[in-house]
Amino acid sequence: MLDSMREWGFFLLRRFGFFLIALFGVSVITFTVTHKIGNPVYLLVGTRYNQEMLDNIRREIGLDRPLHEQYLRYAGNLLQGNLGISRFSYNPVLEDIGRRLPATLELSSWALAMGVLWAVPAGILAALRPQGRMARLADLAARTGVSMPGFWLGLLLIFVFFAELHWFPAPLGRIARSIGPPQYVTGWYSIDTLLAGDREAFFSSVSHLILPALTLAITTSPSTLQITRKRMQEVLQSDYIRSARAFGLPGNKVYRYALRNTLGPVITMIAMTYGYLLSGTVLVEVVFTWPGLGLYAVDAMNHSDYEPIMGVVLLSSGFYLLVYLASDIFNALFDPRVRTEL
Amino acid sequence: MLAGEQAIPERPSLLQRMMRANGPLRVRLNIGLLLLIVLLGLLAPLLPLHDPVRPNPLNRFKAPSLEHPFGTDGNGMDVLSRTIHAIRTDFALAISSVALGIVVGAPLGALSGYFGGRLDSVITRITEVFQGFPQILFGMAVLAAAGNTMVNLVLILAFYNVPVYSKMVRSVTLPLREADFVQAARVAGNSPLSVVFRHVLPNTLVPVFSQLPLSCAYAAQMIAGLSFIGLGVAIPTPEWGSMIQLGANQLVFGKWWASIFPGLALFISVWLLNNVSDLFGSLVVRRG
Amino acid sequence: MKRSLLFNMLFVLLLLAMLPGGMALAQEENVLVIAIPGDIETLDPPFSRFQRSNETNLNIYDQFFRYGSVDTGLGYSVADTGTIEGASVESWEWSEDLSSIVLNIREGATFNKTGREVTADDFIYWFERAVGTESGTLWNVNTANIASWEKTGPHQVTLQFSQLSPWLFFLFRDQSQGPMDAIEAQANVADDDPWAARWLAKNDVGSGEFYVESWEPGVAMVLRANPDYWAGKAFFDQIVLQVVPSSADRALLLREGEVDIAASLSTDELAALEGAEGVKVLTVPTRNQMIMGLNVTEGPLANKLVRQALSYAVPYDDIIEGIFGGKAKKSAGPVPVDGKHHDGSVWPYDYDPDKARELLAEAGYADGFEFTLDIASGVATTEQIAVVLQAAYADVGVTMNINLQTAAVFGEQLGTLGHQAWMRDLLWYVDDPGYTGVATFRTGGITNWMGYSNETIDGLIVQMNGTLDEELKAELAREYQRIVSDEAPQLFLADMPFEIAMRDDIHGYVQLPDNLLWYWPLYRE
Repeated sequence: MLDSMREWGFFLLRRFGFFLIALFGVSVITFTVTHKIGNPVYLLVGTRYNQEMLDNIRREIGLDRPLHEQYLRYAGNLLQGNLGISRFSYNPVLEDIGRRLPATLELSSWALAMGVLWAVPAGILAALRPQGRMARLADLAARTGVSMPGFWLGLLLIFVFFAELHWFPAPLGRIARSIGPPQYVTGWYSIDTLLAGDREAFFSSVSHLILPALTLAITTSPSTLQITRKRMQEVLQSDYIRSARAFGLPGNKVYRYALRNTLGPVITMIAMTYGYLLSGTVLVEVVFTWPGLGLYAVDAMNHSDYEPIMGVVLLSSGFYLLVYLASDIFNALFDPRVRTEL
Repeated sequence: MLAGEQAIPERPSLLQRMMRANGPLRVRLNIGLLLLIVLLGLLAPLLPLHDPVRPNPLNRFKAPSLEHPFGTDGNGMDVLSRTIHAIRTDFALAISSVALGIVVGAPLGALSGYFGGRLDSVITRITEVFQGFPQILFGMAVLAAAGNTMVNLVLILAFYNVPVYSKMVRSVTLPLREADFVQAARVAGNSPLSVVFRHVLPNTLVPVFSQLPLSCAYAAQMIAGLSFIGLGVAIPTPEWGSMIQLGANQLVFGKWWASIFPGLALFISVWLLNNVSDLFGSLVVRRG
Repeated sequence: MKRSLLFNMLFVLLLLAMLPGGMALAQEENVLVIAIPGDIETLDPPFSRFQRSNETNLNIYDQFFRYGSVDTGLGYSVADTGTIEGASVESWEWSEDLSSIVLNIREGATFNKTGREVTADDFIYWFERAVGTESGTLWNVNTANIASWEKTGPHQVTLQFSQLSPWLFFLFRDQSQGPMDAIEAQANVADDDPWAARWLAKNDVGSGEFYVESWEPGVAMVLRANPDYWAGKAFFDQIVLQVVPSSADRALLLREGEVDIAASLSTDELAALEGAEGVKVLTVPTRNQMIMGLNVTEGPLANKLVRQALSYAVPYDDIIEGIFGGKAKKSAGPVPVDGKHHDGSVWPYDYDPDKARELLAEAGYADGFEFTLDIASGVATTEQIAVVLQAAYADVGVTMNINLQTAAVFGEQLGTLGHQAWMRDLLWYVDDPGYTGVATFRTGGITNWMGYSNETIDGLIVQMNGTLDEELKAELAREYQRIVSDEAPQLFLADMPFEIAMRDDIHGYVQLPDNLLWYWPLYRE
């Protein structure tokens, strides 16, 4: 008991330590890009400037200080949530990110849900009948999804379902302009419109969500499908299941057991996909004019304003690392071996 | 015959083993088509195609016809010719970035796996950080800050490939540490570095090559994605992502050809690369 | 059970109460929705550098003067630069020797947000702020040759000039030239920000036709009509500026009837909209020129013969027919073909690749040379022209690389002569060759992004601006055009029309010389 407590303690400490180190690594990289590769002075000074103004700004933002001091200053700002000010929206980057995060979270959550809803059952079915028609279909769909450039698939869907068939609204944002955003509760229009009890707004919100979410679901779910299928096959072929079958354990019990053992890696993969989606929506947001973090970063780029981009990079890598940490801990709950690994 | 080496029966060729594992049709089809695409790209300048960068302002956004089977784009350039010439751009960029990633990543992984210990855990952790990095976003930021050039694009993609290959080579190297031929080389008095580079690294080639098409597929998607938002490739260089972007504006008005054809070419290429990677992968798994 | 019933009933009641009320309200309000490409950069007029914020500031601040307008009979009006009307300045009086002017400020005008009356103090603060911030307005003040300003009554300001001020009215109808609520601005200064530049970037304190009702950066800005505007309330109670970054999407929204006006469309999108049901496209001739500027300070481009060769190698007609759909005019020199004192007879260039090759050989570049053209990304027309030029130059042996930059970087490098060559459109909203000369071809002029310097030209420009004799000015202008055309520091690629697409029930459009959209005269019918 005590041993296991200590094991846990060390495990958590180690994992958390690595998490912090990774965060530190990320901040060093973003620091290098903003302070060393790019020159923030020219971005701050605007178009009309002289040498004196340049020097003043250099001093003001501490570019005349030694490198480690500059980094400490940068990291200190980050810890205080100061990600700088956007040159094109004139808002603190953190504020902008806060405003746009719900849009991206909503889109990626829908995409994840849509992906999981088909990928996990398809993976299981494919594992049960490896040579069956369903398995082949799942395989084909996974291959297609993984090879499909998301932004192009988005354009394709827009062309077919909007421009030609008119089944879905124009790819412009989250809700029809004539309806307007609902009262802010969660920031997710598909939920806020429900809370407001506005059917029309809800349908509008969902109809705007479906195509971009579908695009992302198609391109990101194959890994979930593959891992479900692979893991399920492994479990079904394991000695335990074979002997359980040999001893005449009823089929549904066998499957239930197999499923439970499949769950761990599948959940890890789903978590990873979610972690990836937060930044993986960029191009799809551009295609559908979805006002989330990705579009924000692209707008910033088009204004040569890279503090917002770096803010989004920091946020999404932090999010990814957090998800990674969480899935490690989750796995350790089920598999004691993980706890003693590095 | 040297000590430790065994007489082995005539080994079947890679291709034969691949066919045995996957069925000849699948292997022929995938590899054949991929080679065809590469060949098209290589021979593009010799083919009877329109000049891919010759604009014709009087012939813009023309629908597919006999003269222009894929239509013309916003500059009045022939989409077919550009789609084929883009193979050169996209494949060259993808392959060079992956190659660079291997050149840096593979030795790192081999060193890390061979020496183990602290160096190993440091390298492993660093690779993990990179893998969690929002790659498109970060690419955007670096290209915006460091200059929007093809060289920078290749460097960024190589940067992403380094951890992929160091991780893979490390995992292959770990069991090799105790392999007979490595120990023999060590006993023979070779320096650790020379053991790593002469004896360990060559043995990681097969898994590295099986990963290669997959990395190229991924790199091609990244290149096209970044070009789609105007990064990396200068206009009017034929490149799938920027071609898709150029045509995207007219897609909603029914002029689909300028975007759809290059996208299709990208999709098919990535598809084939992924399949070929699977074929290679089946070899590695069997071997292990 | 009971609770849920109650809740449902309340909910239905609430809906019933909301619906008719909301609908009635919606019918009463006239709302104009405009799709714009990017957000408004700043609400602080002196710091406004881009078209989006220029337009917003024009509409929310009340400029000193404004132009009268004439109906063209083609469904729109154009500003008449010959007729100056008062705006926030109601009337004025020149001194006899034209060395000073008395400005009488409109009495009873109030600031939108505070309801305070606009007084001479606000005008004085405006001048002081121009100096204190060293912002764009100061350039206008200096270019108008204003030496000093003085409050000569509660509603009166007197300006002294250092020399003749031919462009006072043209400059002081700019979006940056309107009084701001001095008390409100001063209430929002900070220690490190004595002119409240940070606060004013996001808050409007004007007395114009509209004011900012709400602003969600990157998404939309909503303007509301000033009910007490001196010339009457605008027809539209509300203007919604919806940010839609992709130009194709803006065109699409217009076609679908989701917005009333789509700003900044490419010629391809305008072509796609023409003939669409319920949409009209206005094509207005302007003095907007597509220009390629060459850095004449170094390399092959410092050679006049090379620049002439490049001018001969432009397929002008292909650009006009193919890229502008025949709607542009062939340029003929530094004065737009529709501009005052234009003289096309001194313009030598036509598409003549042989002549270009000859000139290159003569200049010692028979084997060609290489240079880079920078353009701002996201402007389809510029990219298309650049691609055409690249091919045309390749034909005469010159390699031109095209480098896309973000608008911000492109703009910054213009001022520092960072480009070897650049291309953009330049709109001459002051219709006077002397003015464009001062700005662009005089040594050190503010838009002299070529590093061009020629003593004769400098002299001609001074002479043009020192005379009120139009005949003499025309003669000087001819010589000016001849020399600039011959020296070719800029290539004049096309005189472009201004095109704007809107729903066909929107009327009252007035074309301003700076192509900004003025919301006040618009109405729906």
